[in-house]
Amino acid sequence: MTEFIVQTLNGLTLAGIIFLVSSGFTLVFGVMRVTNLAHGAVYLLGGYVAYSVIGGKSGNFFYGLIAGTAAMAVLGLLIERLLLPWLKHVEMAELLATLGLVYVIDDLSLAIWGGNPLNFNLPGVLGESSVLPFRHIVYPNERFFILGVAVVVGVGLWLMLRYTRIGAIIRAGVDDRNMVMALGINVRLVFTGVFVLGAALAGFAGVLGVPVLGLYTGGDTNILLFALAVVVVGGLGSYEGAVIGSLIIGLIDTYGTAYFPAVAYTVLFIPLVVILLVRPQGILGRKAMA
Amino acid sequence: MSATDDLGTQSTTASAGIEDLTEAGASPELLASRLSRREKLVGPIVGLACLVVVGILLTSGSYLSTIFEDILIFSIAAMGIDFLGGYGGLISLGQAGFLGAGAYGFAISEQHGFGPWAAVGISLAVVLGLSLVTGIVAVRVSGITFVIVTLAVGQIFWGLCYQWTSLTGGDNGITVFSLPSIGPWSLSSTMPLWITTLIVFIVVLGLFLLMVRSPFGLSLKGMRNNEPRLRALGYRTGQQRYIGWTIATFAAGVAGVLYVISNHLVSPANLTFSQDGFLVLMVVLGGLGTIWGPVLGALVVVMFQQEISTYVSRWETLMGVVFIAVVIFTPGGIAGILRKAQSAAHRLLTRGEGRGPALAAAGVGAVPAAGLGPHAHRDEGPTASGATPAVVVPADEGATATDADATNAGRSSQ
Repeated sequence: MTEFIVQTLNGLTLAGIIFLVSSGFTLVFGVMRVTNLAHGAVYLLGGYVAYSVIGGKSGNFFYGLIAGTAAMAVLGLLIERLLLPWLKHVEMAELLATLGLVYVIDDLSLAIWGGNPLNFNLPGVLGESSVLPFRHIVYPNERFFILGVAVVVGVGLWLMLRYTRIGAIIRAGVDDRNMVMALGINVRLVFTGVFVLGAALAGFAGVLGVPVLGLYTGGDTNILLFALAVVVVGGLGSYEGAVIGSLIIGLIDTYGTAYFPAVAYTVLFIPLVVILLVRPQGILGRKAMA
Repeated sequence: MSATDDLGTQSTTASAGIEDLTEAGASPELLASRLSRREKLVGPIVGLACLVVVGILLTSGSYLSTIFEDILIFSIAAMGIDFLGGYGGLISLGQAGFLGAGAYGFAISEQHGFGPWAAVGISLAVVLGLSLVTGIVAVRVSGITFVIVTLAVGQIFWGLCYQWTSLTGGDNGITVFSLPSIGPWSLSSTMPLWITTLIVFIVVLGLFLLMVRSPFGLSLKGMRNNEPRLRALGYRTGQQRYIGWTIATFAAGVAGVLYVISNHLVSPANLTFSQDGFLVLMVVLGGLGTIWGPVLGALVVVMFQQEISTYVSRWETLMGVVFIAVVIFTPGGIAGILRKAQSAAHRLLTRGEGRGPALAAAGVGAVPAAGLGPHAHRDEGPTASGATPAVVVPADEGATATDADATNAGRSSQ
């Protein structure tokens, strides 16, 4: 039972990281219809940038967090302003171009940071462990912190989407993009904003994810797949769907790795298969998006 | 030519609707001229490519022959993607998974004491089984979601190979020792191996070329352009997609068996996302919707991997940039460039000559998929101005593509 509680906490932490990545992916898809396959590469690059800024054990984690997030926001801006306009909103061309971008970002990351796995931990009390009041479970504080941050960001984004003018525009963009354009809203600006937000979220998650998942070549594919599985399960373009999807995928992956290590990766995709058979558009997806 | 014409006449009933389904606005003359142009192009290029390959292989050591085996093998898998993607509008990012399944099927069977030929049979049967099972899920979605789902399917296979160490040897992969042979014709020696690879390649290429001209291939293309209409005509589009998926993935399995025989080793590295991407790169670089285009694409990508990598350490960056440039600037890839050159030459040579209406009448039924749908017009038209992104799937324009996709997906999920 103790083992199960620990695994559940691990699953929730992983779900938090996955949520930060997939929420950006799903917002970008929902508003812009851009399938950004480089989203995982951006996540990884965010972690690498933070690693360089932190510079070893003595550095300040929070500078790294800010730097990684900001750098990826800038990268997002560059992609949105310099690459996407060439593709003229052709969905498959955008998907393929971002696939090409994956090779570029991964290869350059490899050139700069090398192929060895890297890591850094949270500072001070966040890097220690605490004993839970029940069953005397010892659990690292950093995971609670990561989970907490993910929840705060998730709720904050949700409030923003629900109760602000910008949020209303984004939601309207997901529902009916043409109508938003017709209403005279500067869709161009909204697109840029959403894409930058998505990239920043990926970079943010990339830094937060390092203490848990590490920093290694190929880590981007892993996280991209989590994000893709989440959006298929939750529904492409649905923010709330990303919450539900992340919980499902994060928990199932953790339980799978703990209890069925030989087929963990396969277990992960069971919800995907079930969803596609029962409800191809995803739990909260709209049919028009599938 | 005559074989295709026969097919065309046979398929008149099936393709009667497709003729006007294809590209609205393309006159029969246009279609016919495209057909004749393409027909002229396919033979020479494929033939030439084969000759070059054979020539180089005959005169080279085993290093080059390995490279060319790789090109042929990856071509087979890439042609599968092109068949489903270029004609059916369903681009698969999980093809390396099936290539891996074919390779692992062979290697694992051998490990369990089966002879090489039995291993080939078992492997192909396993791949077929996997195709049939995964197809149930994969063909329920289309467009972007299809890409995502196939990626996931491919990664499931990768995960199995990586994590199920007792069966697959984990990260180290499996080395195979005994290879199929008939008498003295043993695939463990260089010459028989590449001749066999070449034969399999030519057979697969021929089958794909026949298939895309068959009523089935035409219906796939019709589905890409306007699925509701095809459904209204009485086609079971879900079934068509399922068959298309099975054929495409099975080709990857065949490639996988050849791969492990040629390389003696299969490891999870053969099934990574990066490999899936390479196969799609080959298709898009070569030219989607051409079948022979991916062969050129495979040539380029394998050359990047094997040759350019010795001079440029950041060859993946270079390849990524080249790929993005192709997506942006040269719709239709290498095939598109060749076709443009061909039609320019054709215009120069036949200036003033009228095009026979009889040809149009006879040929229209058998028109093969003309590349990237919309590009077809753009290639022909004098207004092919500037950069047009490589539209790959259904689409007339970006915005309407979304709507069309949405409608299709919505219906298929009911």
